[in-house]
Amino acid sequence: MNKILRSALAALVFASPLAYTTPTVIGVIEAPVFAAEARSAEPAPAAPEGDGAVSRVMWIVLVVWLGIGACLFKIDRNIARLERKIDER
Amino acid sequence: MLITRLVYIFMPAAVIMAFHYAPAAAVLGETSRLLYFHVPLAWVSVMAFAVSGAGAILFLVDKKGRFPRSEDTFHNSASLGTLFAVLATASGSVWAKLMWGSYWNWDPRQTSIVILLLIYSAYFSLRSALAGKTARGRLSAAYLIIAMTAMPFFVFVIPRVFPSLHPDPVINPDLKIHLEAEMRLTLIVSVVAFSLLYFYVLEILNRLSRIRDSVEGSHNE
Repeated sequence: MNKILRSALAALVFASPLAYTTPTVIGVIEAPVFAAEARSAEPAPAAPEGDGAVSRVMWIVLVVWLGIGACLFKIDRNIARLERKIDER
Repeated sequence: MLITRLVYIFMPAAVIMAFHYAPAAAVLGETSRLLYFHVPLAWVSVMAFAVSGAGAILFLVDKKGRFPRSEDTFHNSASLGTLFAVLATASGSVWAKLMWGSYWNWDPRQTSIVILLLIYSAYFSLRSALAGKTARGRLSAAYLIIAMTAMPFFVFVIPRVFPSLHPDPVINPDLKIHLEAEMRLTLIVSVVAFSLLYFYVLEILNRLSRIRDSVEGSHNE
């Protein structure tokens, strides 16, 4: 199971550079962003490098979350194993 | 509780929605995306402090031992509440740097959260200084109830009494969320995700406390 988790983490880390080259990875749900900007009375200040910077930050946050989530999952499994051992005694 | 495992779905969904579904706010620009992390962190810290106070009341009221894990619950919840409050303060500080030009301005909101953090830091000092399981449990429970009573004043009252740079809280006197539909949905998903994370970690900590107690019990026998 740990191998699977490590592989998933590695895959996400290696996939994150894709965000630099393809800023609209999740382009399907990006339409509301532009719609809302069109609705705003004042134009929102643009990100320094446009939408690519937002995608990059999103990937970093996702990788951080994957690390935390994998840790929690592993701790959860280990605790369950310990609980089983204690109950058997 | 299996429902807390939904955090594995809600948290990535909240992150993706915060960066790609929710629009940037008109004046705040891209920095407004901090809203989807800062507000849920603050919300969860308040909830954790409330749960710790409720657990402490249960611990003191329960004479028949119907809630044997209430001491673990209030202590672990206070720990998590403090952690989330520190994270909310840090994220708010970054936002203050972007919007107000400096990380720390001694704004009423910032000052009140510092006092709240000091109150809960004193709790950990008190608990670690007490010897004897019974005395430690009772005194720390009594302290947490007092802390929970003071908490709403520092979170909800003081920042409204004094003039503050902090914008209107999401839950304001109108009882309405003044956000666009996409932003509101993202905020709700984010709040649910962080709440699930809190309950999931609390459950893990409670199970760890139970294991520690049973191991210590078997060593003492």
